[in-house]
Amino acid sequence: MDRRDFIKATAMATAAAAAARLALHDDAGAQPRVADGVTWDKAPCRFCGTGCHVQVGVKGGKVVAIAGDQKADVNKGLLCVKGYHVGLALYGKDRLTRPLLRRNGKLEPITWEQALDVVADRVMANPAGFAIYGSGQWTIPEGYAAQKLIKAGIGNNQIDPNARLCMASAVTGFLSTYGVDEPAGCYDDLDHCDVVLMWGNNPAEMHPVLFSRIIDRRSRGEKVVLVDLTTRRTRTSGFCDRTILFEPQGDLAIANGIAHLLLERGTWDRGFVEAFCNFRKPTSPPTLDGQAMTFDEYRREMAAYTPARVQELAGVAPADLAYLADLFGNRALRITSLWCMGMNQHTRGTAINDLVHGIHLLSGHFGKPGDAPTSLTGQPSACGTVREVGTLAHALPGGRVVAKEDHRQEAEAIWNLPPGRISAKPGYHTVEMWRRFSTPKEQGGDIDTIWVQVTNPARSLPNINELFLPSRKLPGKFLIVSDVYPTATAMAADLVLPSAMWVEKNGMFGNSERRTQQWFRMVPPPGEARDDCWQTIAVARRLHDRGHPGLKDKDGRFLFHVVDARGAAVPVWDWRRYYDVNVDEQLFEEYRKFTRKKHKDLAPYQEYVKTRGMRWPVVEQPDGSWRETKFRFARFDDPYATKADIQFYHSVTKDDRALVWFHPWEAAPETPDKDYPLWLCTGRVLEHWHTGTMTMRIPQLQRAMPQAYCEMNRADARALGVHDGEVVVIESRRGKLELPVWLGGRGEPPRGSVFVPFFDETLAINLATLDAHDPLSKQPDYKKCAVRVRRRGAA
Amino acid sequence: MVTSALVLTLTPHPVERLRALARLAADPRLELGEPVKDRLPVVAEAASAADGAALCDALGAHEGVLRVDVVAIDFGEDA
Repeated sequence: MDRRDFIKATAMATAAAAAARLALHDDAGAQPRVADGVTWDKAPCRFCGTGCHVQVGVKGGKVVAIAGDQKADVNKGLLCVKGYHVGLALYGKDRLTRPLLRRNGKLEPITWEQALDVVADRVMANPAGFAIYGSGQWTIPEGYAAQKLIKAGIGNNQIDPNARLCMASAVTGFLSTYGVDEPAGCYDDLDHCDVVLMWGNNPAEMHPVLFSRIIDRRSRGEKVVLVDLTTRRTRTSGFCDRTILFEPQGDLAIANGIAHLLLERGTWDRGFVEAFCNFRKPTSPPTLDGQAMTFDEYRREMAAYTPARVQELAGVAPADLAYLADLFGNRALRITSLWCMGMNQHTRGTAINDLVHGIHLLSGHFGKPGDAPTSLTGQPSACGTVREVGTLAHALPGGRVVAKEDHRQEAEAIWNLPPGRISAKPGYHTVEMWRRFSTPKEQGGDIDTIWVQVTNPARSLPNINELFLPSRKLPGKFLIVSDVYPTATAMAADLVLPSAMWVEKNGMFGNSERRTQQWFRMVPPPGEARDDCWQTIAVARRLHDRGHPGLKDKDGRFLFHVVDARGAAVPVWDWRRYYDVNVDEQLFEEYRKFTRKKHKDLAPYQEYVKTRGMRWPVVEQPDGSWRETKFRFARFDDPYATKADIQFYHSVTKDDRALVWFHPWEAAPETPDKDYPLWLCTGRVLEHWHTGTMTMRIPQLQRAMPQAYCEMNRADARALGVHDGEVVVIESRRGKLELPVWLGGRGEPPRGSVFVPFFDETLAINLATLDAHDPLSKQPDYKKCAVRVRRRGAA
Repeated sequence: MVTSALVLTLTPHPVERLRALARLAADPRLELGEPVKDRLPVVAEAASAADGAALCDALGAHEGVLRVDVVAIDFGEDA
């Protein structure tokens, strides 16, 4: 048998095993065969927050094959088009391989020793003005190291991630409803529900493996009702039993309208509400705790949201609202709500998150498999690294916040810091951090150095004309970027640090369903590229050696004290020694001490080595094994719910009850008018991930979707005299760009609205978007602002 | 040469299904396995990863093919 025949035979065996498993639900867990010198190991996919596991085939120091991991609960051996090509994301032709310093306007190669000195110089010159801007693509140990450097070491709390832009409103929604972050349910809900209600998200393109999991049930003859609540028809709409189009910002009115009908018809779940819920209304200024209200007050507030008023505010027909209320009023059904950026990138993001949780609680659709309100995330470790490690300006690991003295004391104890080391003052959230970086020092711009890791803010921040571009012209502002490719941000930087990527380093991610995942380094990074975690530790050591007082613990030891199996210190800041020990494991074991307070218990590192991830809380059993938790707050599964069938044991009101909120509908901060008559919505597409820095370097994906476009309604295009493919100018009050129009494309925006994807670095739609943000989550709204479109050359 | 392991979900309609199987069997780039209910294991070969991706797209558009799931890919010389 020659090599080609061998590979074909192996592929057929793999396909046949997968077909049998899909058709017969045979979870035998066949794995790729070892073929032709290829070695295989597991890793979570590098892209979205779904957390699919892949098997990575390596030969000769290169990734040569990818397979869906059939032992993985999340994806059961399948992959989407991005996952299918994830191995090629390592091999773009323009990988960064040497540190680069801008001199006389030009980036020039320097050594790592010089680069570390430059970073240390900036910190030592003005520690208060130094910030780290990170990512939901940081691995858990990377984020933990950056968090520790800033909160325990430099001590200014100036760290925030791009996840602020993608899921911060989901966090505030969970906190204000349950007193603790992250979903109660998990992907298993998708296997048990009768109804999936999608609130402004498009999982057919953005979370295709999860969507396939639902569609697969239909192909087996099961009845699953899909309902799409959306401001534009998408690929998801085509699979749905009912697509309900609503006016931007109308989701608030729809949610209140459903609650109104449940109350008016008496189809709310009195038993559930009386046992497990309290009621809240917002205060001014808003807080996560709000103000107590009685059920009768709640009912009176909701009385205003009649079907007629909802139709006026949201453009939704009374029959559609009644249909939704019928679903929630039927307790024989199991209903899963899914949402992602549509509800989170919203100036009333916390409110709409609260309201959707509230409908589930009011109707008792909670706490049973298939009955769950579940947010999805867009990045592979937005949950694991940002929400759990707490790499946010106000947070500490394990659900703690810097504003609370006891939380600071607990962190100081775990980090062995002198009392009072951690500052009680939160740093700046993302929009504020970048605004201050783009503001002259004498005008309040007190952030003068930002170190960006694993993200591309030059394209992903909103309103980049105001938040990013001015900094590049201001004297004294210094931008450091760690990345794998010359992204728009890297090319605008003063110092560029080449990074290792995905299976070029050890790593851990935490996905949307509380699942913590682990992988090992499989191939070497190119040239002088090095792990982000090493970069952080190496800078910390530079600061330590220069006498920065924050880099020692109270016993005088370096903050990142790493030891070998015999307990001897290992100088892991020396790259040659970094892989002498497993730094990830040591950082993770330290971080794990933070996780019990909020019942987010994690298992030891080595347990994750054996599995395709486990969902927290992971609790040790009498026999020494570790058990994950699928359904939180439910006594049948959650070991911490012991007093009742449902126990919200982190209740804001300290009585094991969740909060059902009333929030009024409010207009969006910017709405179309005679000068800017169209709504602009931005988002992703199937082939590309975020700003396209990886997927645009994969030729297959780049060819499939080569550039951004402006999706228009045909009637609007006719009115403007615009033809399919014609380049138009799209313009807001903040900026403009030129894009080709796509009529009859994948999506179908209703009249009066346009959609532009943000994956194309050369066509930056965030020149036009708005930086207005939710008052609690501080998450900007990328889904709603006013624009005008004109033919190129027209006035 | 890029080799992909695929699972095609076929329509339950018997006539359309037979037609789909006949068309797929006639494609020299494909090797068909034994169907398991509505799932058909397929090995696809293409000259490059780009051609492989295009082939997957084309299979998804075939009458009688409801879905194409990718199970594994060997990038061959494209890696």
